[in-house]
Amino acid sequence: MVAQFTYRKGWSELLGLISLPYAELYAERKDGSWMRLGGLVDSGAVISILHYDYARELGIERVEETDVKGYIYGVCRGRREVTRILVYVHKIRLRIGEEIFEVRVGFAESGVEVPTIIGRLDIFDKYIVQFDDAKRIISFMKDFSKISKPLSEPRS
Amino acid sequence: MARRINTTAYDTYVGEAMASEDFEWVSENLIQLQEKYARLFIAVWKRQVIGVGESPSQAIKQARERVTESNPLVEYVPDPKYILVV
Repeated sequence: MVAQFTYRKGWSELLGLISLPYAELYAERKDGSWMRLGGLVDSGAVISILHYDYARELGIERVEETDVKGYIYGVCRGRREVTRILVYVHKIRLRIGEEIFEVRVGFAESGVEVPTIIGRLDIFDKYIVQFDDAKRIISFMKDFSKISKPLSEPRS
Repeated sequence: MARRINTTAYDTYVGEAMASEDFEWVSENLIQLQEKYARLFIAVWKRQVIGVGESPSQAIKQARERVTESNPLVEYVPDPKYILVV
């Protein structure tokens, strides 16, 4: 087990009480300190999405200067329709529990409101992520079977 | 900072858990926080909201002005009017 979090109870005007699987992450700043943030874990999201300002807080000065950029779809402050949001992909160091690893995340373009989304890229391939809606618990677990039982022995 | 979550409110599940007190506090008080801070970023330190803003930087800046040595947990508060489907 790497980390485990209880679902949050939130309110929706449409549905009433809803359960939300959130996790607490630590993102490494350029000076080596760790910024603490909470985010919604979304197994349907290909990539994690963060607000533009998080990049600045982490010490990424030229956010727009990346070869990997593209559009996602979301809802912006002041607009009700679904709109395209440009994201800039950067590699950052994240910590979940005691585990530290590099993750590609998309920082939304400046001035756009986006919630913190923890998506699959570079995270879900490292852990078994279990959503237990009955008990309202989300778990990040190591797949020990893959680590301890290689498919074949390396040839000498 | 990391400690075992009290899961007694959620059946009898027993397992390892890692969450800071601030993260737990947000989890326990999300509905009240939604009433006050929907669609804003909050900075939480020692189980208190010490910074609020339309961006994480605004929330962190306000938090640092109030508690210089703080390293707050930064969270986006979801709007009850919307359901997040990504």
